[in-house]
Amino acid sequence: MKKNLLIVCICAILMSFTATSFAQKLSFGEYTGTNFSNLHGNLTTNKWVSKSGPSAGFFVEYNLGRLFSVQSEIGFISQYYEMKSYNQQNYYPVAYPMDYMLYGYSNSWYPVYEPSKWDFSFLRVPLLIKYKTPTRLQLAIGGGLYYSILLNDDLTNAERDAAKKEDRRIYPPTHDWGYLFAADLSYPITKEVRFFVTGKLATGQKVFIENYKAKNGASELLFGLKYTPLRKSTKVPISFKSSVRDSSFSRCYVIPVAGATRSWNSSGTKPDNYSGKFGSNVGMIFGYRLDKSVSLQTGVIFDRKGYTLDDTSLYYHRIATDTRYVANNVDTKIALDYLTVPLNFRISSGKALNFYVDFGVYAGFLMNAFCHGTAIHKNSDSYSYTIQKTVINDAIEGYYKSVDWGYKTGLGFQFPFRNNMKFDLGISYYGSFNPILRKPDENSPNYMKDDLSIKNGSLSFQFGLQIPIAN
Amino acid sequence: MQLLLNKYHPSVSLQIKWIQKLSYIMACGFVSSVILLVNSCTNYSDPSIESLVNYRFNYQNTNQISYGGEYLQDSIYVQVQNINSPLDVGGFNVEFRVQTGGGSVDQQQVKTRKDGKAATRWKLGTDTFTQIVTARVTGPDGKLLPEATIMAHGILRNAWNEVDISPLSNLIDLAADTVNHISWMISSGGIYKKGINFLDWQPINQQKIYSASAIEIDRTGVIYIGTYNGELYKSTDHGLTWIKCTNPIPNQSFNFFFWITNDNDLWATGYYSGLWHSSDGGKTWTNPANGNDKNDYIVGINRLKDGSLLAVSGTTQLLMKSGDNGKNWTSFESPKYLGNLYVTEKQEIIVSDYTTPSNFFLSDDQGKSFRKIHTVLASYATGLLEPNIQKFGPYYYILVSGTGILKTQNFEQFETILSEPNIRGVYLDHTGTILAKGWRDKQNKTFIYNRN
Repeated sequence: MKKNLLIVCICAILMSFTATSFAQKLSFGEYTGTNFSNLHGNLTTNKWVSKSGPSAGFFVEYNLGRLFSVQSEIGFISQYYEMKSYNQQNYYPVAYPMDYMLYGYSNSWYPVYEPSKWDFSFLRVPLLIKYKTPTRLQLAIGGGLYYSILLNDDLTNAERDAAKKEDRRIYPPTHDWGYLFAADLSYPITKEVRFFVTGKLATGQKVFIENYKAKNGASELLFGLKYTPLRKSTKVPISFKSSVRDSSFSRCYVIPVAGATRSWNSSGTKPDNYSGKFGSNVGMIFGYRLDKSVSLQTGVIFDRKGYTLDDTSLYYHRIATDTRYVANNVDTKIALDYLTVPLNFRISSGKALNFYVDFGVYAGFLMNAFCHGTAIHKNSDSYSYTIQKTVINDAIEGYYKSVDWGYKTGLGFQFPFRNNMKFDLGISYYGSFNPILRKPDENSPNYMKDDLSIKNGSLSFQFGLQIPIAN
Repeated sequence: MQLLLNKYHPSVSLQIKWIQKLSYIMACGFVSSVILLVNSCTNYSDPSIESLVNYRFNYQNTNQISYGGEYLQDSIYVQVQNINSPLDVGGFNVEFRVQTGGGSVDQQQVKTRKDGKAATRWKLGTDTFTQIVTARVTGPDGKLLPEATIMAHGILRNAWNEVDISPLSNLIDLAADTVNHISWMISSGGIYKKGINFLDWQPINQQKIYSASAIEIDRTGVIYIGTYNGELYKSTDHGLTWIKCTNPIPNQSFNFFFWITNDNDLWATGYYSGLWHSSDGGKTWTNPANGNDKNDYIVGINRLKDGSLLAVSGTTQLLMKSGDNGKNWTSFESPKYLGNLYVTEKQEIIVSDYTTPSNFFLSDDQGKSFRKIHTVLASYATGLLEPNIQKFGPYYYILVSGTGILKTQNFEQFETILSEPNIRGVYLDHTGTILAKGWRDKQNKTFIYNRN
């Protein structure tokens, strides 16, 4: 680990030296803020608390023209995880195998379980490619990879060596890598210095908590200053306006969007057992005009989908019944957070008032899955009569596929705002191609295979502002 | 916005006015989005389980035994426990209702007292051995809570009792010593000795005898017990001590069957293990046929007064005879598909086939000729190794699989004393109590005729 740390430090020093020789193309600065942990893995029950931890670091950004840049940094990030389990053992298959529940059932009360906690601190080095608007209030968005080194390694070298000799995995690993997405909003406070606020989303790829096959994840809110040494001839964009004269003829545009989502289970297998729920969406659409009326669009949208379950079931997130077991009266909302990347054509008509239709496909990357609500469990036999109320707050992404492929269609209209920008008001339908639940093992009991047909269906009402960015 | 309106053609301006209105709607939509976004970040409660209702019910004085038509010694009662609120256990209504047996309870509707108990006396009926009362509990709010069954056993006098309580329910074999007035039973691998009444069987702790499978008593009162792992034990002091004999069938560590002929010789056989003989009380064993009958086994063996041996071949289901103490066997003309063999004191040979209907044949000339003496309609036919003819006093008791138990004194008149197709093996203890082992639908039940 010390060797890795040395390499990182050398890289950082080299980068800071080279900074001086690439003035005006090079920016550097520091940031500090908070991260909110968000574990990913085979999570099927219990609440995983999103805890805040510190994030800070130094970065170097190399500008590739006015619109793109490459950024790297040395960051320190501490991620704190906490799992809160039910204060009594479940009677249901959610957490324990049914056979265990059949033969190991006891009416006695179990002790309250202490929550489990994990703390990891990392030195993180990412490499990001970013797109930024050439405006005074600058929006930048980008993504890339990162490599991080675990700093609070509680395991001894002897333990790690022993595991290595036995060809056995040991947790946590000494390092991690993953994907990092970032969106900045910056504003110049001097000609050379910008204040910025950044949102980052990091997803690690190595398992750090063995029992849950859990990988690191965090969303970060950071503040910082960026310093860009300028030549005399360099001009800073001075106003928040489009760099294109007429949006009608601009080739490229971005549309920051936000709105509400009505989502439901679009599978027709058990239509009466599920109902819809409201969520929200926010994101950025990128468009490229193929001609005056046809555009190709993509983007990144953070979309909260899901459905509501109000029925009797052994599971809390879907219908599952088995005559051998007493089902729960379940009233839950299932929230599925996706990072949706659409790819669609937009055909528009009209001048001042544009009407358009969209059609295309999308890939939804599951970020989180939660199940909230209540379940009432009645148990009645010759010797007891019990009614239990379970307040459900479970992370359940272990039940769902990590990617949801589907199709998208929509319509809307745009009308002019100012500086060649346009308001955009649209409605889009997103539908899954395939069921979104993972299939259990073939040998699993039948109730585990019950109703795996759930598909995402959602109607997004989106409000946006189209900003032309290039001819 | 107004400036924009001025820039465009009037028709476009009209559109834009509409758009102005729409923009208000959009603004509302935007605010809604923000609200929803905030809503999505709602901090939900931690996971927890709360017990809303938690009642426990105890049923006391169940499984009592008395005589049919008499009260149980102790009242039966239900006790309600409220785990969430221990003092709130009074006022529950318990409805006792007789379901089987034909008895009655003194009070059908009983309110629980402050201690949560509701009791009643139960007078057993005379319909069945196993009798059931249901106790239906209703909460003070009128909500129906669980219903439980309370069981009791009423011994029926001069009648068959379908006994489902251990160890009798798991009867495997039984032997009676009518001289010393002792009866022994094998049940679920354990050894039991009969006590005072017909339900009273006391276990005999014999740690070295594992998994007993069969029991026989010779004419001198020596008790032999075979085990499921191929061993044989004997007791010469009425069960006080036990001696391990030589294993009857060498290299066989599983179940075997054995009989004792009237000269106290022991004969053992197993499926396709041949016939084994001991004339010294199990110390040594020989295979008299010298391996020639290795593929055969026998169903019952009897020594006739002339010293010859008579048995039914397990493979040919024919009678066979040996005049040289088991070395050579010859089959002779006899009814086919024989399933059992019995020789009376008068040297009459009784055999039965396992066909439907089932036939009984008698030979009074040492097996030279047989005549059919009785035919019984049976719901099924099977060959069983358990005994199907027993004698007590002047009467013979004959089990017919698929039919029941017949009683005869002379093998001419037969009386059906139990119509129960699902029995196998009939046994008599030293008092003459008849026991029949249940199987198929009556598995783990034993039919016992109580003569008192």
